[in-house]
Amino acid sequence: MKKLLVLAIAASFAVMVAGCTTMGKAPIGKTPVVTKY
Amino acid sequence: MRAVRCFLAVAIALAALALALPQVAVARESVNFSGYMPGTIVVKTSERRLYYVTMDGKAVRYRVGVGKAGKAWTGSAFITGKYRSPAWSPPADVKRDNPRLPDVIPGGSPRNPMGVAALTLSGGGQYAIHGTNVPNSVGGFVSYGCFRMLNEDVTDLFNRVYVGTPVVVER
Repeated sequence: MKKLLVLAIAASFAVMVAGCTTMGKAPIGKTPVVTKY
Repeated sequence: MRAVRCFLAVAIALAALALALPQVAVARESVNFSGYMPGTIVVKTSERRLYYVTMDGKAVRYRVGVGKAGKAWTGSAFITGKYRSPAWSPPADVKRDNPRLPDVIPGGSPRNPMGVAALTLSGGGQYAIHGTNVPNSVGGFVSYGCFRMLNEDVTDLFNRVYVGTPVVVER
């Protein structure tokens, strides 16, 4: 039972970290834009 | 029983952390706004705020960096291109002021001032609404006339607009 709980906690933490780190990231583009900044 | 309590405490802490994280960097909010058609971007330079008009007198308001003294502009334009993490090349006048800038900075580089996205504007001024690699500069009079947003905010705006979206820049 304890092992299951630990596993569940670890899994939720991994999902949260994965979600946070990928959120808002976009594929890197190759098209150069020539603009001011 | 103790294990269940422990699990609940950890779960609540993680949920609170997940809710708090995105709010650290995001400055957008929904506000009342009138005078423009839904789907229009309005930049109020003096406020250093960009509004995206949604509907029913509402707009999403974002903090932006705007043109520094002598570089700000007013007028109308529209979005000509949408680019995610584009490579960036400085135009001639920017290169003249900063000769050490490379001719091309790859997309995704921490030195790339476009950040995660750029929305290019019509009008021949080589202006854009874009993200940033210097988040602290957002909200100031800092640019060559472009509108600089937090990366999280420009991602949100990117997903709302399309090529042809009208942009009005006010004093």
